Amino acid sequence: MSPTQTGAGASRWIHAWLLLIASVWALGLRDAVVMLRWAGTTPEMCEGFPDYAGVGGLLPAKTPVGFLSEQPEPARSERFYCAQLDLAPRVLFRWRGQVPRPAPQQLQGSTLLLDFADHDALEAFLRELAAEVERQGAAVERRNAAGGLTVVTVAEGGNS
Amino acid sequence: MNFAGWTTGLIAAAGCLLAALGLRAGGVRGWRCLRHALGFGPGLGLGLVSLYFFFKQLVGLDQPGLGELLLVTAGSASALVAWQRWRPPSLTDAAPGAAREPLALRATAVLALLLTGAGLLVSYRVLSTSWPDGTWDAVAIWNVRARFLERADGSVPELLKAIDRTSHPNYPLLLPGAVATQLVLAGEDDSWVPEVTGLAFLIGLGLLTFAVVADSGLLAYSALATALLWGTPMLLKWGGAQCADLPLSYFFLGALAVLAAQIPGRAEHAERGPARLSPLLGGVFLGLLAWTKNEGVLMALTLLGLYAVWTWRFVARGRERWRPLAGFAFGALPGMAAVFLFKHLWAPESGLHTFLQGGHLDHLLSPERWWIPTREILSRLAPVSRSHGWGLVWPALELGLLLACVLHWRARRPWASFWGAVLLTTVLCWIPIYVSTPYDQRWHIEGSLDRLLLQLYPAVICGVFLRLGVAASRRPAA
Repeated sequence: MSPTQTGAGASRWIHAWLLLIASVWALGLRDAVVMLRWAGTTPEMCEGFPDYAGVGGLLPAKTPVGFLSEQPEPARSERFYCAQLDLAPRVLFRWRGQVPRPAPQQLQGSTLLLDFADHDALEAFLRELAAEVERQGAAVERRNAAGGLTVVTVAEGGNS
Repeated sequence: MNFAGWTTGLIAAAGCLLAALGLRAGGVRGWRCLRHALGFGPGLGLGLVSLYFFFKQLVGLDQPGLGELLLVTAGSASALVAWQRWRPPSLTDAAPGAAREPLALRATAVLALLLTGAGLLVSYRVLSTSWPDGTWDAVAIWNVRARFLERADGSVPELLKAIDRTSHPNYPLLLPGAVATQLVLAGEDDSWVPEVTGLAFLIGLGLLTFAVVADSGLLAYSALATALLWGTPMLLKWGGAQCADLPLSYFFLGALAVLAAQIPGRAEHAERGPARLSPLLGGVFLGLLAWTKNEGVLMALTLLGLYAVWTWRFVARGRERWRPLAGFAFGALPGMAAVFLFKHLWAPESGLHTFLQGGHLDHLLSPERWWIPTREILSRLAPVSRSHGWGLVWPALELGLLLACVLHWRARRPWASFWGAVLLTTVLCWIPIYVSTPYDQRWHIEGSLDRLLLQLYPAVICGVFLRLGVAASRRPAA
């Protein structure tokens, strides 16, 4: 078969394929509409969160800061990442101690950024934290910031 | 659009100018030069800016300014032109003859391109309005690291080792570096920067698709390929996500197109592939591919390995046989060096280290762990129960690939088989990765498989349309 015959035969197949792909592509546009509706109704990841950048002045520049939120974020940690985005280059780490029973060296000299919506839960947490820290011979310094954020610094203790 | 948006435009325009100068020095002229410059330019500009940012930070210098970047562009252009004159592409780089196309086909293609282009802009606007900081991955991985690079005061390695591992501090820095440079130039943390950078890659990918397929000589096919690309829901979704997956697909396509174009036919009656492009440009894209994401390193190595095999098998012995490799090596050097230095000096250890130390060898012995990724890949390529956001484009493309393979078999075109082999090998490479993953396997597959297919998708479209376009353009005039 000569190249010209091959080309002519191929061309018919190619145009038939172009018709096929146009039709299936059009069917796929339904997915695009679904995707756009989803995008239009899904809230922004950091929407409604506090202005984390506003507490930057209260945080140490070089030492990593523990971040704790009691807000429901099923395994996605949106608040943590939005806070990290706003506060970079300060390094945040996820403070997993829901019940504050860490070893003394884990707490002393550390700074925590607390993002609690429930005032009673925040107060209960801070009471428990202060009790634990005092038992270690140190002290807690608490500073309230805008947006319901709280910065807690655990002073170095000398008799732990 | 504010200044930050124009920063992206300026960098992309500088990249286009750089690409045009290099292409012209390599013998590419006229509309073909313009098409390829517009296609390769945005990535070239943003990629080189990112590399420059990284190397300056690496040696402890200040962050770059606008005048300095213009000087770097001029220097890069001079180096590119000098190299092209010293080692011009070895074959005459004549533009392919324009084939006659039916008017209805051309009109349909233009209409489809306009409609999907408008749809693309609308969907991008919807996505960027909904998520001005990007999707979850963009916030947690890409934009967070861009902020660190922008605001760090000479302590980037320490910061990258300290930040949360889920922000993937070991991922290469093309996108964060490009965004950080623009944030520095803009002088503020403007969410326009990552948004417009993403849009530049999205539009650049379409232009690159157009330029690559137009090498077949059929502009209608180029427009249809770009329309198909821009009309795919999965691409629209990730195009507006501000993640690095779309840039990765862009650099993969550019590198593959240039490498494939270096492979001529060996048999007497075999037709030459698309006209040659500068190996240096291909090399730069290989380096930038590796500098975009960890996956890009594997993709670049796959491309180079298969290129060596195809050259050995299909290119006649002689002085010209391995000549393009010098261009690839020289062009890829900055990107590959950046990856090497970043991994050794800045990045914390990754899951790969754990695996190499024998941490998950038992995974390889589990038949189920091999079957699960295979099944998931097949379910996307032959969507029986759900389309996963791909519409029905994948099965239609596979039919096109089948047709292209038949045509290839009849016409013996090694460049086309190289194209197909790269795509197939890349997909197959991911199966052992999913088998050995230290993460939960199903979670890993669910989170990354569609993005792998997205990274390959533009190259699949181009391969099919380019191959079919070459066949159709050989049709005798009616």
